[in-house]
This record gives sequence, structure tokens and C-alpha cells, in this order.
Amino acid sequence: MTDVAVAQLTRRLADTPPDFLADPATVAVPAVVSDVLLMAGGTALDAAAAAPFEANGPRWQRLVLVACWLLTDPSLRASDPAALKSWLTDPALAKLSQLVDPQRFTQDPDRREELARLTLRALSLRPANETPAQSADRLSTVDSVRRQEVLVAAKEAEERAAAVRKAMEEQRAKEAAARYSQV
Amino acid sequence: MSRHVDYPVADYEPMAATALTDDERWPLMTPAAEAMLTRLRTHPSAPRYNHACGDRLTAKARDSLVAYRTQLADGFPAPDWIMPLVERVYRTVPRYRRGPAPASLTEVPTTDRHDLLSHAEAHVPEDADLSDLIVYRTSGSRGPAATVPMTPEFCALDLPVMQYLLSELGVPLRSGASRVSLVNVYDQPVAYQFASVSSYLDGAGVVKVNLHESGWRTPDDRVAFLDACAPELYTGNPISLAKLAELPLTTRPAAVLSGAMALGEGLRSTLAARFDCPVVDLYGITEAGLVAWRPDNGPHRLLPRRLHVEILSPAGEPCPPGERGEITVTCGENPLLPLLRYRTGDHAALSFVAGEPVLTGLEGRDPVRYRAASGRWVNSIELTHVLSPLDLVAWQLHQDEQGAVTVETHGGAATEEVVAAVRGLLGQIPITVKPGNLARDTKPQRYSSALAGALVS
Repeated sequence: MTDVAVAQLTRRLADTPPDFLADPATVAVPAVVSDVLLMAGGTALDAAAAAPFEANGPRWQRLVLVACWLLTDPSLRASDPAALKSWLTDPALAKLSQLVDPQRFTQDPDRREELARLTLRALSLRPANETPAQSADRLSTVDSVRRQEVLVAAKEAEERAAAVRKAMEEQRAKEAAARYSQV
Repeated sequence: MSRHVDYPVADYEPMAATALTDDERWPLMTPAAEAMLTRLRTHPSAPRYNHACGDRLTAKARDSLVAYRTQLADGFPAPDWIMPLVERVYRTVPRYRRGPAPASLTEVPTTDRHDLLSHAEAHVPEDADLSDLIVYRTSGSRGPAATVPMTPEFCALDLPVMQYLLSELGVPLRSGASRVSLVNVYDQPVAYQFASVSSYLDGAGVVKVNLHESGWRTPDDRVAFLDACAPELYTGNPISLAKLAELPLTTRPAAVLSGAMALGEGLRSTLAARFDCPVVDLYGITEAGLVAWRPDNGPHRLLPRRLHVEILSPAGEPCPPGERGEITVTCGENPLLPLLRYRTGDHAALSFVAGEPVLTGLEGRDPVRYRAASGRWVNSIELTHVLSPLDLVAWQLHQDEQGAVTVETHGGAATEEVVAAVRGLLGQIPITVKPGNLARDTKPQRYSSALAGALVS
């Protein structure tokens, strides 16, 4: 399979039709997913596989619809249907929908690039005209999940540092314990 | 306590630094130990206690100390603890978590007291229990004073270490709640004084006293109280032990342990003759505990702790055996402050005598005193007390043959503040302050003097 230009995918996301941004309650999400799988040569979702696309939250459903629009780009149609399905149900996609308003993946250039690159990675495709190191570096700069993890880790580290500073300032700590030698 | 009203250190308001109940101070208190504590607290010649301090040892901590004593008796441990410590520190200590764990200790960057001073909390492992954290300020005699977090158990490691080196000298520590095992003596215008007991020593009494007259109701009380204690051990620094030797005590300890500053051979001989017992020179740092010792004028023997010593050149390269450099320690025994390649600021060469590692030519902190305008001698520790709060990064203080003082400073305080601090202790002597750049790699000897009698040795 040939490499895919990231710019082609981000343009497609910028051109996402309003139908794919509609209230998921008004859209048969499993049917849209099935269409994507059929276009790729796969089979439609059965009842059990369709259930999560009906039951899970609207943010995730919205992002699934946007991702479906992206996956029907001509450059991605030859993808393995199993890989497409796997990406649409990937917990990373669900987590992304919790961190970022799904509409931003069509409106915000960085978010468009993030979804395009994550999709390529999930389908084992390489961005065109980039070395693996360049691709990894570019993805890390737009990676919302990673950024959130870093923010959480930084917050936890600061809370811990504050707890240590407070413990060291406590009068209980300063009373200390008897020392037996002088150093 | 009758304080020198003009003494410029305000840290020692009587009992102002206490925060615990006695039950919290001594979790393992026994009736016999409590009786010893009461005896020490209520003795009619007791010093003017201005602090209270326990051992804070739990049964688990005490058991660990007993096991530690056995471990020391087994001799130097195999170095197979070092790389697991490096891995653990890189995994849990914020200071190191931005980098990959190196494959060998020599790839670990060195650290020092400046690093510790600037953000101590970054050196405390994220999984360390903070509930029994205690802190000590370093003396500040070899760099900026730092606040060191530790556990009560780590603080008490001195006891099994002392037992180890005393056993090497054939001196048993009998301990038990019927006797005072240790009196730690100071000689400063201001110092904490307290009575305590040690559950690790089966309830034996432990006392910290200040031999300065201001710490007692009458000057004679010092002798009456110390003879009543009749401790098995005296610990102190060369200046306080020299003062102790001048007192007309009739009791004799089993050993005298000197630390904090270099013990000169002259004073060692004086103390040995005065007390007719072994006199040990200890070397250690607050951050890592006791490192080495010597019972004579020979090299300092490293203690068989899980404490790895390297000697590094100013460029940070390991020095071959016999070549002098900076003593650099790696030690994971303080769970709240594991140290990887911590530069101590002290210098020596590492050699081997009869297969055991020793430090030769140890150059730490020379005990220096300064002559005030009044003629009174002032200990360098007192100058540390008044200069430390001024946010100086470093300083060097020298008194010339005429008594004039030159202070070279690095960063921080204004010249007028330095002059005021020094004159607060030394009076109206000539002072020159030279702000400059005291390079941290060439550890400055803080105190020096050309005056006869300034070196206590």
C-alpha cells in the first residue's frame, strides 16, 4: 500500500459534510459504520457489533461519524476492513472524544492533523514524504491524549512536591528525633 | 534559659520547637525507661532544658535497627545493591524521572548540596511515606545549610554504627534503663538541650547538653549533672569536647566520639589521657549519616554500610586509589533521601589497608575560632549561625594576624548585612567584605585564621 499524504486527509476533514456532524441521535451510526466496512470490501455490522455504536455516548458517536467520513477517503479505501473496524472501536478514539469536542477535528488544523495521523498509524500506513522519526515527532506535537497525560502527571507531581514541602515545614517534623552524634 | 540578649540567633525559644506528646516521642516507652526520663528531667542539677526530643521508633523500626547491627557485623556488603538503587531512584525520584536509567553508576550525573538546597522535595521518592518524616538542618559548615528529610529510623542508625565501631575497639555498650548511655555535648551560646531515652538501647538515657554556662542554673551544675549521668559515651565536636575535658568530672566514659569537625591529634591525645578511654574521630554528613571513623591518627576506615564511596576529580572523573579528590557517596539507606553520587564537599584519597577501604588525608571542616574585639573566642559554628540566614551561596571568612576579618561572599546578602552579622558576634573589629564568585567546584574552606590559638587541635 502506498504512503498517504497527511494534507489530503486534513483537507477531507475540513470538508466534512454537515450530515456527519449532525446530532448522533438523528443519525443511524451503525449504518454509517457498516457502509464504511462494505465500501472497503467487508461485511456489515451484525446486531451484537452494532450495539455499542448505538449505546455509547454522543461525543464518541460524533467522533466515529467524523472518522467514518475520513475513512472513506479514496486513499484509505483499500484498507483492511478489520483494521477499520478495530480503529473505530479503539479505546484511544473513545478517550480522544472525551478530551476534545469532536467538532474540532473538522475545524481546528491541529486536531485535523492529529486525527489524520492517528488514523494512519492505526491502519499501519505511513505519512508520505516523512521519515518514521519525523512522523513520530509530528504526532507527538499534536497528540491530545499524550498532552493530557503530561498535564495530569505534572499536576500529580506538583501536588506531591507540595505535600513534601508541607511535611517538611510541619512543626512535628522540626521537633525531629534525638541525634546521637555530630556530623 | 538565660539567653544572651544580644546574641543574634533567635531560633531557640525554650520549648517553642516542640510539637509532640511524650507518647508520640517514645512509642515504645517502658516503665523503667520512663523512670529514667523522669530522673533526667527532674535532676536538681539538670541543665535548662529548652527542647524535648524522643526516638520516635516503632517496633518495626527498632527491629530493623537490630538487624542492621547484625548486618554491620557481617562486614562490607557485596555491591549488588547499587544498580537496583539506581533503577529505583530513576523510577521514583522526581529529580531523575525525566531521563532513562543509566546502565552503570558512573553514568549517573553527580549531585550536591546546592541541588538539594534548591528543591529538596524533588529528591524525595514519590512512593515514600511522609507520615514520619523529620527534618534536620545541615550545619552549613561546608556549603549552604540545607534541610534534610529523613526517618527516625535513619536518624537512629548512628546507634548500631557506634556499637559496631566500639565492638571493633573491644568496648561494649551495655545500655539498659538503669544507665545513661550517651551524652551529646555542645559548647555554644545557644543550643538545644533535652533529655531522652532510647528504646533501641533498652530504655537507656540519652541527653543533649550545652556546656556553655548560659545553659545551666549554676556553672557547677554541669559537673554535678554529668557525673550523675556517668554516661557510657560522650559525643561532641572538638570544641565542645575540649571544654568537657576542662571540667573536673570524676566519672569516665567508656569512649569519646568526636564529629562535625576534624579532630586534631593534639586534642585526641588530650582527651584520651583525660578520660583514659578510646577517642574516636567520626566523619559523616547529615544527608548520609556516618561514613568513616578512626580510633587513632591513622586513616579513616569506611563503615561497612550500604554506602558506596567514590573519589572524584574536579572534572567529575573517578580518581584512582591513592589520589585525592572529592568524597562522593551513593546511599539508599535514608528512604526519604536516597543519594546517587552526592558530592560531599569534603576531600580525601581512597586507599586499601589490609584489604579494607580507608580515607586518607581526609580534609573536612577544620575547627577554627575567631577572636572578638573583646578578646573572647568565637567558634566558627556561631558565625555559620549568623551568616546562614543571609542567603549567601557561599562565603570564606579569614582573620589576619592583627585580628582584621575578610569575608569573601558569593551571591545573596548586601555587604552591610554581612558586616552587621559578623560584628554581632565579633564586635567592632575591622571587616572587609568582598562580593565575588566562589566557584562551587573548588569547595571553599569556609573558615581560616592566621591568629595564634585559632585552630583547636
